Amino acid sequence: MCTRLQFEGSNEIGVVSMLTNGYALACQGNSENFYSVLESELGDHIPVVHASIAGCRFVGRVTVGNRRGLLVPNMCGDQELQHLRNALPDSVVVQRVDERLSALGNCIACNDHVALVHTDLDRETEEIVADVLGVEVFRQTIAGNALVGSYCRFTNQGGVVHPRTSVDDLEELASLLQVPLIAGTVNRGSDVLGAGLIANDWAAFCGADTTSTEINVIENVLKLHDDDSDDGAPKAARMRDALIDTIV
Amino acid sequence: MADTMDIPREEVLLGRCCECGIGLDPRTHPTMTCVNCLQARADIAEGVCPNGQLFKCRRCQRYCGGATTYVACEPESRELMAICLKRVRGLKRVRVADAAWIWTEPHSMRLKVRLTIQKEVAPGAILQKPLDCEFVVRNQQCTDCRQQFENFAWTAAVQVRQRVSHKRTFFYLEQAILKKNAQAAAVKIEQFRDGLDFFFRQRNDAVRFVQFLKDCVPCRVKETKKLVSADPKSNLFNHQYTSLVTLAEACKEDLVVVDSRTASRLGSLPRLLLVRSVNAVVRLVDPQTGRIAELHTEGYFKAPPSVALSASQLEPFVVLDVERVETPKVTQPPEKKASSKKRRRQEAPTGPRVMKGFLADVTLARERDLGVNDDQITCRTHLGALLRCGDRVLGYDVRAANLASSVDGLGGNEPDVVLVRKCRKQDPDGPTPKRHWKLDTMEADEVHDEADHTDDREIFLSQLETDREMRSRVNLYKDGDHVDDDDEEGVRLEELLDEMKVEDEVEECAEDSVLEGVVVRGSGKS
Repeated sequence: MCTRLQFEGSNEIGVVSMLTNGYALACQGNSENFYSVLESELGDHIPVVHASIAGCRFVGRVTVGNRRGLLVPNMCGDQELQHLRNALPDSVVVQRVDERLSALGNCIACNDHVALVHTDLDRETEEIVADVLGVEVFRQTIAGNALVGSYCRFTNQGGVVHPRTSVDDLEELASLLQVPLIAGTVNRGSDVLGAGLIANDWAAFCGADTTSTEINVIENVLKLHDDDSDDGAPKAARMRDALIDTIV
Repeated sequence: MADTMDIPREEVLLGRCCECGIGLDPRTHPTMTCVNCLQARADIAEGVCPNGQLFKCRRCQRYCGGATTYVACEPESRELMAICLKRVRGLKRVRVADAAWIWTEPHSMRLKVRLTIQKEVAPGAILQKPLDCEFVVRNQQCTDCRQQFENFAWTAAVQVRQRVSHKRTFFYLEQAILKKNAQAAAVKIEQFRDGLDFFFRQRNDAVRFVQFLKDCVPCRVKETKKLVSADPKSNLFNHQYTSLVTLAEACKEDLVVVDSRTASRLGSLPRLLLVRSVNAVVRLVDPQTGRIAELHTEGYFKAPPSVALSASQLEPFVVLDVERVETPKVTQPPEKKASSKKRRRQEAPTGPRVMKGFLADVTLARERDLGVNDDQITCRTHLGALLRCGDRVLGYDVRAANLASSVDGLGGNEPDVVLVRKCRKQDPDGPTPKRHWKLDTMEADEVHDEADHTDDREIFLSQLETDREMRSRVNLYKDGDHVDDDDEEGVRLEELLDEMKVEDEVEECAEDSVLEGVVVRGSGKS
């Protein structure tokens, strides 16, 4: 189920929040509406944590993570880091990365198994990504854009990439990620998928401008339908699989 | 293998419209929305008001192009389109790619324009749409027309006056004005007992008109102005300007007495002279010797000649005998000089016109004396070449005239009779002769003159008939009723213009007739 969501009138919810199979981060807003929606949808299963990085709200763009770990840029303060470590489950490793390209969320896209990274990313960072998040790392571009985190969003079930990605590139990426991919848009034709969409294996949130056609595409590829999923397993079963995976 | 590597493979893109899901190419649709969905989402005509009003002056048929400007526009013209587009509100928000007229029936008072407007609804996405605009044409009197209806709309007046008892100068002036259409700028013309008033909206027009009068007749101009309203804060002052144009009293065929100083300055002429013609200069002729002198405007008004006898006092005489007089001894040397115009006119050697210059001693009898008594008069005249025995000729009987005021110093050697012009052959007594030509008339808006000027007009017409040079300054039109071309002395048929009855028919027509007039007049002179 993909939910339309807005943060203080902005549709770019991927900037102020991030979502993984193990936890969700949300920034401190003026009102709690945004957090409340996330909490009501996810709170029963995973912790939804208020966070800030360097005192700012762009949590989703500067952090990257999956159920195993969370990478924060070096501008993240000690208190903020400590808060994250306290709030997140013990199984999640929170690691500060000394990387010149500090908007990690823009430069890295990952699920629980694979990560695509910016082509100019440091070798050390790449190793940290591989170690902390436990993923295979590929240096890639999407439709000619090096900011892979901005222009695609994928989970363990599937992914959406920039609409200008050609069929050949799409096949190549799909073979790397081992998940079905589709070229699509959010927020009524916007190609900045990382900013308009947050998703994990059983839930997704998109900007309030997103049309039903776009939601349909997203739900199909991310296998978020309640009953007509490809393998026939009901949503609860899939969620349980993911959660058990997290616990284990 | 290397070959296939070099050839770039064509990219296949699988874009979808974000709203309806229809397949599209993301390269040509940067908003990822198909045209239909874009049009449904954004109405580019929003804010553009397709209805408006146009104001048009009912009288002069001009359209209001701005706050106060009125522009003459053809139907469906570029100018009218410009005015219409100016009236469409909100048109600055969009780009106008095209504009075309849709035909409307003129009496519907509607104008329709089909616009094609473009607007960028999103970065990289420009929508285009036709938009029909309808304008209601409303009547509104324009400022010029309104001023014409208001009283005292004039700013400059020209009062033309001649202090004489007849109207012949004004008959001539009327024709000269009509020929040049000099009165076109006048908003009102009023007729008075001794003159005409012309009213103008612009002062420039009045000045131009006065200049025109100066070129036609010798005149004196006196300028006055009257303050109508003043706004000292803005330094604005409205004046009404009046030019009083006093025309010279001497008219064609008048017998005048000139100042003795003037007479000597003109070349020791006698003081009693005949006015031969009145244009910018007054031409005087001495009937005794046939010498011609010219008086310019300054010279005329320095000492204005007094009119002793006027054309209405002409009397008919019958020629009994003509005796040619040899060229009199004149003071000028006999050899021709390029500059001595007077001499050349007087004794120009060849051509029929020169015959007029011959002097003759004529024996006359007054026409009314015929059969009553046997009085005979002998006089010397400059018309000798024209006269034959038995001709009727018009002249002044100086003996009978009362020259009381001007007789002092004349010397007593004035002639008994001064002959002025020959009568036309078929000139009958009593009823006015029928002419195969007629003149245009200038209608005065207000007439403050009740007198009957039929006699003056008749004299003017007969003067016109006998003077070819005078005819060249006016327009004569064919009178269709009686056209006979057997009149040798009078007006020839080629001199006449076809009358223009329907003025707004085609412009070419007018050009043709004007050309014809020019050519014909040229040939008539030769």
